[in-house]
Amino acid sequence: MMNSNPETVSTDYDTSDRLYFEPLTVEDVINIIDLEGPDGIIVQFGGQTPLKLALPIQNYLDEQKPKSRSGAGFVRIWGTTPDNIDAAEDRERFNAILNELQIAQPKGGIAKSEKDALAIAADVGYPVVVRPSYVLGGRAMEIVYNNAKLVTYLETAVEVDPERPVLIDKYLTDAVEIDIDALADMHGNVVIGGIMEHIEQAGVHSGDSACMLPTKTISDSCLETIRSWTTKLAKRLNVCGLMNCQYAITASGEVFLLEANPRASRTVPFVSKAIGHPLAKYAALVMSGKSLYDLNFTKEVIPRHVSVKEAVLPFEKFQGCDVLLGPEMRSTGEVMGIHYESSIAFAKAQIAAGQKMPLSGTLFLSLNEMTKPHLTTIARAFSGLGFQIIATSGTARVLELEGMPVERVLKMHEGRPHAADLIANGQIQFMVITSSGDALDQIDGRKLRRMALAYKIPVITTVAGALATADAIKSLKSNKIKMTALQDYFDVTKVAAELKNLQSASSISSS
Amino acid sequence: MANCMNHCENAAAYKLISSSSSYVLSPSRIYSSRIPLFPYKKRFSFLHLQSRPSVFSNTHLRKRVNSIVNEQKNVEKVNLGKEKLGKRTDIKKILILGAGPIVIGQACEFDYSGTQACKALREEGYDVILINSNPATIMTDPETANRTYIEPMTPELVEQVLENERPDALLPTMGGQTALNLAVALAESGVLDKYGVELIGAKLQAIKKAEDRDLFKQAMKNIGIRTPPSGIGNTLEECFEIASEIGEFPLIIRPAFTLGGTGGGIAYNREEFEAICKSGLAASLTSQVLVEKSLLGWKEYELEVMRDLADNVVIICSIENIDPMGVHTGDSITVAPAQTLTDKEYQRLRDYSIAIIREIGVECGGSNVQFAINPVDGEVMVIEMNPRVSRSSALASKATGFPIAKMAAKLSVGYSLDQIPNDITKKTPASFEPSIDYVVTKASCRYL
Repeated sequence: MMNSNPETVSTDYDTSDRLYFEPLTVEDVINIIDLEGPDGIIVQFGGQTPLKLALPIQNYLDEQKPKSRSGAGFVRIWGTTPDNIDAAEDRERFNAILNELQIAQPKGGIAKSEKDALAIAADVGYPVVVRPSYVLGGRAMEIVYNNAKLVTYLETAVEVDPERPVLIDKYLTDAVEIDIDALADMHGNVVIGGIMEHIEQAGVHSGDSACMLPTKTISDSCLETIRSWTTKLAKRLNVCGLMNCQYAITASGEVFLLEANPRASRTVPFVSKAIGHPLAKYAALVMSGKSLYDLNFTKEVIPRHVSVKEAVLPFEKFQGCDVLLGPEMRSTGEVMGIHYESSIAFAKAQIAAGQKMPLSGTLFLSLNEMTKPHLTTIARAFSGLGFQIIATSGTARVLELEGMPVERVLKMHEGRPHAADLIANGQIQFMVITSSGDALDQIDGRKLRRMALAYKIPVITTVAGALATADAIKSLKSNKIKMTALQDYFDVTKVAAELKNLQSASSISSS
Repeated sequence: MANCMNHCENAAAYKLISSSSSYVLSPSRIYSSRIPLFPYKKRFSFLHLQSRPSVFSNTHLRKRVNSIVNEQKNVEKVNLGKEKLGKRTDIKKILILGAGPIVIGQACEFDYSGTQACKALREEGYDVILINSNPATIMTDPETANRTYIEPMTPELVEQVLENERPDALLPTMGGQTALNLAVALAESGVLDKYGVELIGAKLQAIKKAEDRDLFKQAMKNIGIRTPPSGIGNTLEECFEIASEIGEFPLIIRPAFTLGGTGGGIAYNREEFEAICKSGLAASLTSQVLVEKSLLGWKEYELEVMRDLADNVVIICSIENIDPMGVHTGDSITVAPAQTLTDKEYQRLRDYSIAIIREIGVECGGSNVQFAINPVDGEVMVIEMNPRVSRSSALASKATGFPIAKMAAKLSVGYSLDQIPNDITKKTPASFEPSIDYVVTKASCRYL
């Protein structure tokens, strides 16, 4: 084991036979290869850091051909080959593969200059997602709605030149994002580990978005497409071990591949616990030469219970930063909620993440133009739960036209008493705000959101998040949260008893 | 090089201290005279052990007499203690609280400690129940504990787990501040009593003594160890009074109960002080500010200490922060063992740490004590004490090969240090302090 982080279980001295606390650089890794002469090197489990080392290590192995100490031949990198990992990371090689396999991806291109960028944007149509190539965690990634914004982005956020191209892709408005983990062995067998549906729309970084396993709203045909594309891709890339893919499904049911990473992803621990199979362990065994049949893992497991993963965001620690979610990842950690009903699983995850779930009170609603079509759905959901609704002029007008009861309040720049006064007076228990991100919002909306955070009032910044929360509140009102041990979700008799219980409970409540 | 080989701090060591050199400070005498009052009965009288009996006046003569009496009692205690101590058989099921999600200031180090605790306790044959809402941890692997709850960690919901599982004991010291706070909430609301659950590792009183500012200050005063002078002011005049009592700038001003920590700061002169106090008083919902002497620029040290039910204490590791006070320990480059202390200075920190873990009353587990030392005159102040496994324990464990979390788990179920073999040497018991002839450095990665 080689890792430089002392705070991990992996660097416990009884986890491995030989442990090296050394910097993860090519030179150090090569020194250890020479010293230890291992049979195999595994680079899939450490995220981007070891993956970046894979190619140089492979080059070294090809040139020097160091022998394994065990006498079983030469030192090799186990699992997916660095060349295939690179094929997935390199935009041009990857596009060629997708064309060959007929897998759709959002229209886009690589811009090496500002002129390129504008041409590509004009071709695919706004809004577009722009980001520098080869970045981690969506740093400096942004959704851009017009030419002027694109130029500003290129001038301020990143430098664009032929050495450091910028990727421009069509942004799929209102698309649902899917995360999928798959496991493949060296014999070409592929098993889907889990398919997760993101609760926040595509465009929110997958690390910051809540997600749910199994999926809830995705049609069977879309799921089939996703399964067959993932399997096809894993076979084409000769994946041996884990692969993670992200897809977007538009409202009309079109499927697009956003990204594929032939390595263990951040969702692996969550999926493993949700389906009751240790995927990372299987991956390691598969890389050592075992087949998926040897491991008795040959079929996708779709559990009866629903698992929800929610991101934990550090906004409270950073005064002055905005709470809106975007393509740049900002979460530090994650929590999980499990239950047989998705709404309660979601509620558990929210509570675990420290989000308060008010069961009654007043809801402040403020939606931007893009999300206004969902306004009445959200308002109905909450007023049906007994919430009173307060909104500023634009939002209130729409609701009034629909004949919904709504109380008006002034925006912060319109005079007093305004929305922030209500927050300070404790007259608002819950807020749903989607921001347009324009100049006025930067002053007004941002202040309001920060204020809500200071007074610990829950703020939801996405439509999907709001609807899921309404659902969760509804379940919380009629059910007590029940704590269940992970082991019990995989105990057949206990599961059967629990499901019977739930069914009788729901038949009582419905009759 | 300040790191000489020290055997564990127990009765034998006391004899040395109380009969030897002049550098031994009065605090160590005071505590040495207190400790053996309840020789081995203490498992049944935790609470009394720590309350300082007022019958002792601090006169020199009385102290001498006491220490002689106590030396004899100590010998007796060790003998009897050996028979009495050992793995507890009256508890079977233990609940461990995890640390929850990764947040700033708390990363995967508590997964490391929690995993070790689970393994150690299961190895001893206990049923281990675990609660942690964070799925991205080894400890929530279904094989690590007997029963794993990946559920929200609120007092109400954890109560349900207590009701379902009926554990005999709760180990709160492995999951960082999250677990400790949760345990305090459960203990104070009477839930633990209701279900007959015993806190092991650290008792409620010890946790509160270490966590509550005033109680901690008072405890340190009792054993004659200085803490940064401070006071709470309700008006500007009061703030100035406190400032003149403290006597010198810079001063730290922290408003109490603000929305998001606004209105505080460091003042280097009267003018700044007045301005910051004014805004702090205004920002505080209770119109209160804490004025404290700033130790900016002092050298910063941490000691990892462990104590068992027989009152043996060992120092696992000393850690020196290369960056001075003012840079958060978590962001600072740290080195183990401490590099710039004379042996005398180091022994003083040792004595203090031992006195502190006893005074706070962590009776079977590990603690982390943080000190500041004035680089000019060597004055020592204690900054804080964590009655639990901490970020530094992970580093200290790996630096020394002494698995603090694992040992702490074993101590919490009744073992004494001399009954646990050292994992690395296999021959010596854990009561031998690790001594290292190499240097370990930790640098932190910044999220900028």
